[in-house]
Formats: sequence, structure tokens, C-alpha cells
Amino acid sequence: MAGGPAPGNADASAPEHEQTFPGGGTPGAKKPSAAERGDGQNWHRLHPLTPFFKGWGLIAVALAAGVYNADENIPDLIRFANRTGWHWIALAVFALLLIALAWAFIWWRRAYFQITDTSLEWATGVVFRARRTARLDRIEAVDTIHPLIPRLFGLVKLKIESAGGAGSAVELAYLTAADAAFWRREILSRAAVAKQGAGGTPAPLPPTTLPAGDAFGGAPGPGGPGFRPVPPNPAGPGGHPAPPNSAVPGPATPGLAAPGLAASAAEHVAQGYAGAGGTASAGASTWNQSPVVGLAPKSTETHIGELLGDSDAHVPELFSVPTSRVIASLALSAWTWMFVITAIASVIMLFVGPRGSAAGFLAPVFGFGSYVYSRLVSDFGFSAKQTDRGLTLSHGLTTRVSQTIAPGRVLAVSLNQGPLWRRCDWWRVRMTVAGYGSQDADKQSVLVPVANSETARRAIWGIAPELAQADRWEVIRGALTGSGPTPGFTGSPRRARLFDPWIWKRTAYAVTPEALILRQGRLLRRATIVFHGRIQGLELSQGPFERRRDLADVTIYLPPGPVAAVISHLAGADALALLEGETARLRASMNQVLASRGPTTNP
Amino acid sequence: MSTARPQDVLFDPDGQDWRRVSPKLIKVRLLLIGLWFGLPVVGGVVCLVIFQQWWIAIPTAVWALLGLWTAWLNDRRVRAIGYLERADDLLIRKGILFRELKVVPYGRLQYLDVTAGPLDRAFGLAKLDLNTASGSLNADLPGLDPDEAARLRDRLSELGATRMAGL
Repeated sequence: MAGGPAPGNADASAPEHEQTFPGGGTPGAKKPSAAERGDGQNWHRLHPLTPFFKGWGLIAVALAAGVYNADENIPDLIRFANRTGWHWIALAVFALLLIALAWAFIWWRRAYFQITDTSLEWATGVVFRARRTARLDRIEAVDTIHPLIPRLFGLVKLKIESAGGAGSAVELAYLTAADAAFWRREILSRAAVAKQGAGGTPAPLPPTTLPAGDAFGGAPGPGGPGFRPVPPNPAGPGGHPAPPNSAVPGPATPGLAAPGLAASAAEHVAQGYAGAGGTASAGASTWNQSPVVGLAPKSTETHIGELLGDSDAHVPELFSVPTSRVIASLALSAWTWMFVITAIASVIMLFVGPRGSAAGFLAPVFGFGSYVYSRLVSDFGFSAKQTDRGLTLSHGLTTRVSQTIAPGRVLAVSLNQGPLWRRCDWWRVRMTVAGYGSQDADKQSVLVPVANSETARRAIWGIAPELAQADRWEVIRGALTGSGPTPGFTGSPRRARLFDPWIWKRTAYAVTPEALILRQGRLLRRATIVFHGRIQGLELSQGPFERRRDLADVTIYLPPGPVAAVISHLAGADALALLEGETARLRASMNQVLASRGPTTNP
Repeated sequence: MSTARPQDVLFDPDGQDWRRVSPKLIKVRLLLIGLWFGLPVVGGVVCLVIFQQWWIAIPTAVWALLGLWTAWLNDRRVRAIGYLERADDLLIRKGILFRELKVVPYGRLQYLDVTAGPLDRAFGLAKLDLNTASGSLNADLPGLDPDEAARLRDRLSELGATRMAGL
């Protein structure tokens, strides 16, 4: 069993539930409640097979070392064995195995974790002990990851993302699927409670009670505080238009249900689509089926259940990417072409080139090939659902990942299109997510691997409903395909063509109430969306040649992630206006967060 | 030192009084330039004398010219460093040829470092490093008086704490 009680704590609760809930889907009804468990010394263990999966790399290296130069090693070994006697060899191998097993056992015995009311603690290591603590109220999300080999044994890994940038993720690996589901629920619900506690008194409900909400309380950007994406529902309850950032006195439940906020979000979206006319309202009506509409005040228990997404199963998909489109999109990507070209070249060189010249192509063939393969494997079976906790993405072929992007966690979005995707109106949508370090960027920061603009709009609706409104989307569309002077956009002046002869017409920015939108790139088109309230810093820069033409560059600094926001060769005055404007909008959004938080609280 | 030529307006959005860093930084930087450029040049000349190979003169001369140019710019470069504490953010201005103006909102500051290397300490200087959640924003203020550095650090961390508004 995964979580055998540690010595001295006989009644840990984890042990039974594996058998109780095969398949891991059902709610933890038979689990002891948080109160029964207490917060002291209930340590739980990982699955006993964990050391083998963790040590897999070591075994593979040892095997590879043995296989490498096998033509010499094996005869050597046989000679050596003949000399010393086979029984000694067998004994040595047996002893090694025994040592490895003992080590694995000791490692397993000494790796455990517990959840208290305030933190998640875990301890690992035999010689060098490491014991760490993650504060529950800082937890952003708990993702479930299914790597290939452990998956064959029904084991999964829980990745717990907390606020605080790179290296702050905690991995609980490996657990059985049922255990993982249980612990995920447990961590998230306790995190919700911890955040509620941290938010202070129930009086003016801090608009930040989603599990991930705390640190992102509330810029007006992607779902200001406590907004939850509600499908268009003009007849929703309590539709008095509360400004999205005001602190609405709400019921003392975990604040998802602050009715004014939710309703106002609903209203926004509804307005947007009313204006959008035919196609969009058709889209809206399909999204409308999402059962997220119930806004009536609920008990805390129900809310935690909702937070955890008990109802995910019947939530319809917001969008999914068919396998055929993933394959087609890869076939039309430059990486695949480079792979094919280098592969063909290496085959040609093998036959006609000088001896050994084919080897020179191996590195690029391997490089491009593995990139294309990793894209295929991670984009495979991509689908998204809009749940109460936020947007839930699941994807991957060998390693199946499910991530939940809570409202407000997306700091910036970029849409990219290579030349071959243009005819199909395909875009790769990536996002910078709070808490994901840059090392996760490639696989875990994809919002949609390949989307036409309608799907992209749905996806963006999933993370920031305001931006999918007709007028905002008009601007984003302009950033995707427009060129030259466009109303609403401030572009690079004609004198910039000396620096950017090819792309200067595309370079432009536009500002919506929520976000700054950059339009860039001609062959590789790119639209970048940066939420005003998420900017970390700004820079205006100018080189000597730019000064002669009165041009300047603006860099918007964001937390690490796939989205970079640098716009070059704007007219000096426009660049300064952008810098000052964004500074002011950032300030306004931060002030709103502070005002909504009230005068006393100070984390 | 308040120069207000027209092209400076772009990098002086408020037209306010920018604070300069300590002029002692000029000496420190000059010393460093001397070390970085002077020592290799001396080495080059010695090699030239010993080996009598004319081509050694080329890199030595290039290096010497670069050093002289850097030294010539040094004074203006240090004087170009300025900072301005506004109500909600700190502005940092640097550079003469390649100019930059950085805006660091107080509410985004994650931590502040005051550092002083041996040379800095000898001249009574300190450097303030400002860190936000964005790893790529290198906002630092070299050449501060230690008192001023401490004052800035305390003030900024206080402002940062009251204005911290999430990420």
C-alpha cells in the first residue's frame, strides 16, 4: 500500500482508501475528515515501487555502460568469470541486488509526507535528509502527471505548484491513482480552507478564494478577483452590475460564489456575445451548456466539492484538438521539414558522400526528430474543460498530464503562426502561468497546440472571458492578421523601415482595458497579450542609431515563461506613451487589488 | 549636472530631479578599467619586446584603444546613471550611447540586496540590486553611498511590503 503508517502512528487513514476506491474517481466519503485526522504526526508513505521508478535512470545507465562495447566487455567478463569461478560472480550479482533492494527499501521507509492545517510537509533521503514545508495558502494548483512506465503499474505523480517561481514545485511521486486522487482532493480542500483563513475575517470577502487565487488577487486582467468564468447567462441571479474589482460583501463561504462578481462576469460575456452576432452567439450557446451556472449560496462542503471538480465528468469539453489536426500541424511545421531534409541529406551522403560524412547529419536529424516527436507526444489528445476551478487541460500520449489553470493564473498569452499554417488559420497558443518555471515552459505552457481562431477564442475565453468579448476579440484578430495602419493600433513609423525593412508594418500595439496587445512578425506572425496587472517591470531603451531616427524599444518584463513582450522601433513618443501608459495601468490595477484587500491585511 | 538637451526628454519623462550616484564610482570604474585593459596591454608590450613579433602589436593596440575609449566615456557614463523615486515606482536611468530607462514598481519587488565588493568598500560604496519575479529584469544601482543604499533598501522594502499586490 502506498501510505503505510509510519512507525508509531498506527491509524493513518490513507491505507484503506486504495482498496475502497479502485479507479480513484469517487469522492472521499469514507475518508476521515480533516478534524479527525488532526494535524500532528500522520505521516504517509509513497508507493513501495517508487524507488525503482526513480532509480530507473541509474539502472539504464548501468545497462548502457555494459552494452556499450559489448563485443569487448562480454568476452572479458567470460574470461574473468572462468578464472575466478562463476559462483563468485553469481554471488556478487546477488549481493548487489540485495544491496539495491535494501537501499530501495530504506529509501522508501524514510520518504514520507503529511498535510497539516497550514502546510504540506515531506521528508526524503537516507544519508542526506531533506525535509521541506510548503505553505498550503501558497499552493497554486495540483496537477496529476502520468508518466509512461509508472502508468503501466497504475501509478501517478502529483505535482504541487506554489507561488514563488522556479523550483517551488513539489512532486509527490509515486502514488496509486486512487491515492493521488485522494491526496489531490485533500491538498486542494485544505489549501482552500487555509486561504480562506489567511484572507482574514469574513466581513468583506477578499475576492481571492480560489485555490490559486491568493497571489493573484485581482488585477482587472484575466479574471479579476474571484471572477469565475460563467457562461453567458443574462438571466443569472443577482445581476446587479458590480464592478469586477470591488470588494463585494459576500457570504462567508469560500468566496467563489460572491454573486455580484460572478454575475458581473456573466454579464460581461453576455454583452460581448450579444454584440458579436450570429456565429459568436452560436458559440456562446454551446458553451452555455456548462453546468457552472448555479450561483446560489452553498455550504462550505459543497464548495470544496466544487473546487475539486467532483462534477468534472459531466462538464462538456470547451474544445479539443483532433489527432489528425495535431499531425497535420506538425507536418506543416518547419521542424518537421528540417527533420525530413536533414534525414534525406544524411541518407544521400551515406551512399554518395565521402566516408563518414553522413555522421555529420546525425546530430541535426536526431535533434529535429526528437523535437517533433516530443511535440507529437505532448500535444496528443489535447482537450480542455471549463470547470469551477478554472480551465482543466489534459494532454499527452505517453505521459498524460492534467493541469488546472485557475482564473487569474495566466499572466500573458502568445499566439504564433508559421508561414505554412497561414492558409489553415492555425495558431499555437502558449501562456505564461504563475508558478510554472521556465523549465516546464515547453510542455506545460501550451493552451492550445494548434487552433483556428475560433478555437483560440474559446481557449482565451476559458482563461479570461473579457478578452473573448466581441470588441476585444476584434482587437486580437487585428493583431493576428492585420498589417499597416489600423484603427486602435499604434504602429512603427515608416522611418523604422531602415531597421525592420520586412516587418515594420506589422509591428504595432493596442491597449484594451484588460491587456496590452502586441502585433508582430510577418513570416512568423505573433500576437502577444499581456495583462496589465501582471507586469513586473518595464524598460525603454534606445541605441545610437535609433536615436537619430527618434525610435525606441520597449520591453515588458514578465515572470519566466514562454511569452516575451518586447516591441522594437516604435516612434520615441509612442514608446514613452506605452511605457507611461502601462505603468499607470499596472499601478491602477495594483491599487485596486490593495483597495479590495482592505487596509489591514498584509501577507 | 542637470543636462536637458532635447533628446534627453525621452529618458526623462517627468522632467524631475533625478538623483545621481556617487561620483566616487568614477574612480572605482576607472581603476577597474585600468585593471582590465591596462594589465593585458602591459603584457602585450612585454611580449612584443621579448618576442619581437610585429603582429603582437595589433591586439595590444586594439585593446589599448578600447581601454582609452572606455576610460574617456567612463565619466559621462557614471554621471548618466540616475534614479528617481516616484510615488509607486522607482525609475532607473543608465547609458549614454545605449540608453535605458527601467521602471520597477514597488509592489513588484521581491527582495533587495545591498552588496559591496572589496573595491567598493575601499571607496565607501555599495550596490543595490532590485529583484522581481521576472528573472530577466536586471535592475541595479551601483555606486551608492552605503547610507543611501541602506535608506533606499529600507524604504523600498517598506513600500514593497505595503504595496505588494500578488504577482
